[in-house]
Amino acid sequence: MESPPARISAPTQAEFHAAVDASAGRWLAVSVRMTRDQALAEDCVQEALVAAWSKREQFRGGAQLTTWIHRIVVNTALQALRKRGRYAFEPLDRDTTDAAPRPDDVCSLDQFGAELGRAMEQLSELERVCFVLRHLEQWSLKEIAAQLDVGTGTIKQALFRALKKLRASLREEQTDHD
Amino acid sequence: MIDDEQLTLFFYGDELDREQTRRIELALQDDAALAARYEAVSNELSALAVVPATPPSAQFSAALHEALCEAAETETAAAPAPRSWAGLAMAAGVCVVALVAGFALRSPTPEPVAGQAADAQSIAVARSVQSHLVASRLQLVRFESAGAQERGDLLMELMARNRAAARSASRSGNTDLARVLRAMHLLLDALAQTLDSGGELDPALLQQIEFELNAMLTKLDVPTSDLTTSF
Repeated sequence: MESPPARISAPTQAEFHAAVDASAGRWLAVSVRMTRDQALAEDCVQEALVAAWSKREQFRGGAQLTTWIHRIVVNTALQALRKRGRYAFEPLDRDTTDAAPRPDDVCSLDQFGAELGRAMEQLSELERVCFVLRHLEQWSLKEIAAQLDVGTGTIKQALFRALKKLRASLREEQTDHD
Repeated sequence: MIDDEQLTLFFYGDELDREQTRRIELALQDDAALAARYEAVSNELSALAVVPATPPSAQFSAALHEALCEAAETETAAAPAPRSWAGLAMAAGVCVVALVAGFALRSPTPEPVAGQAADAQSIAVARSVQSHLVASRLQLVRFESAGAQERGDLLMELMARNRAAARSASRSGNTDLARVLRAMHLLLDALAQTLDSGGELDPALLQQIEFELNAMLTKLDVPTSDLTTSF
C-alpha cells in the first residue's frame, strides 16, 4: 500500500482548530485512561496540543493530523506520569502486587465504561499503561518497551497480568449482575 | 501446547515470528478445542476494547482553542521579522471564529442569586462592548473613503477602545469575552501594519474585520437577562 504523500507545508492554525473539534474527546479519553486523573489528563492534552503546534513543521502528512497529535498526547501523559513518580518500572515483584486504589487517584471513570474503569483500578501503573498502549492504542510491545525503557519481556508480563485481572474483574461484575 | 498468552499475542499480531504464527494458524484449523478457546480469548479481548468516550465539555474545547490561539499569538509576537498582514489577520481571524464558535456551543449555566452584583457588572461590560463593536463597525465604513491621516486616527481610537474593552471584560471576570477582544486586536494590528508600511488598504482585510465584528455582535445580541451567559 502506498503511503500518503508528504505535505509540502506545515498544517495551518485552522487545521489545528479543526483537529481539536474532531478529536479532543479521544485525546482526553486516552489521557484520562493513562493518568486516572481528570485535571492532569486535561493539562496533558493542552500541553500536547501546544507542543504539536510548536513543532508542526515536523508533521509530514504520513498520518492524519489528529493521529499525530494523539500520539503526542500519549507521550505527554507518559511524561507526566514519570514526573509525578506515579510508576516505577524497575522492581517487577513490587509491580506484581495488586495496588489498591489510592484515595488521591481521583479518576473520572465516567469517561469510559464504568465497569472497565472499576476493573482498571485494580491494575498497577505499569499494567494499566501497558494495557492502554497495547490494547487500546495498538502500540507494539517493542514500542512500549522502548518508550518505557524496560525489556519487552517485562512489558509482555505486565500486559498479561493486566488482561488476567481485567477479565477476572469483569467476570466478577458480570456474576454480580446476574 | 499453545497457551492463552500465545493466543493473546496471536490476537494482537505482535511478537510472534512467521513460523510461530503459522503454527498457531494450523493448530486452530485442526484443533476444535483450541479454536473455541481462541474464540473465547478474542471475544474477551474485543470486549475490553469497547471504551465509550463522551465528548469533552465545551469549556475544555474552548480552553484548547484558546491555548492554540495564545501559542500562535506568542509565536507571532516573538517573530523577528515583521509578517504580512495577511498572515496575522488569518491567525487572528481563526482565533476569533474558533473562540466565538466555542462559546456558542456552551450551554447556559444558571447563575446563583448571590451573584447578582457580578451579573449587573457583567451586563454593563457586555453592553459597553456592544457599543464598542457598533462604533467600530461604523468607523470601518468611514475607513475606505478616509485619507491617510484620518485612517490612522480612526484606527488608533479603535485599538485603544478595543484594549480598554478587553481590560474591563477581564476585570469583570468575563475572561472569555476578554480573550475574543484580544484576538480581535491582532486583526486591528495587522491593519495598522499595513497603514504603517504605506501599503494599499486591502478590502479583504476590512471585510474580515467587519465579519468578526458582526460575529461578536450577533453573539452579544441577546436579551439582557441572558447577557451573562453569552460569553
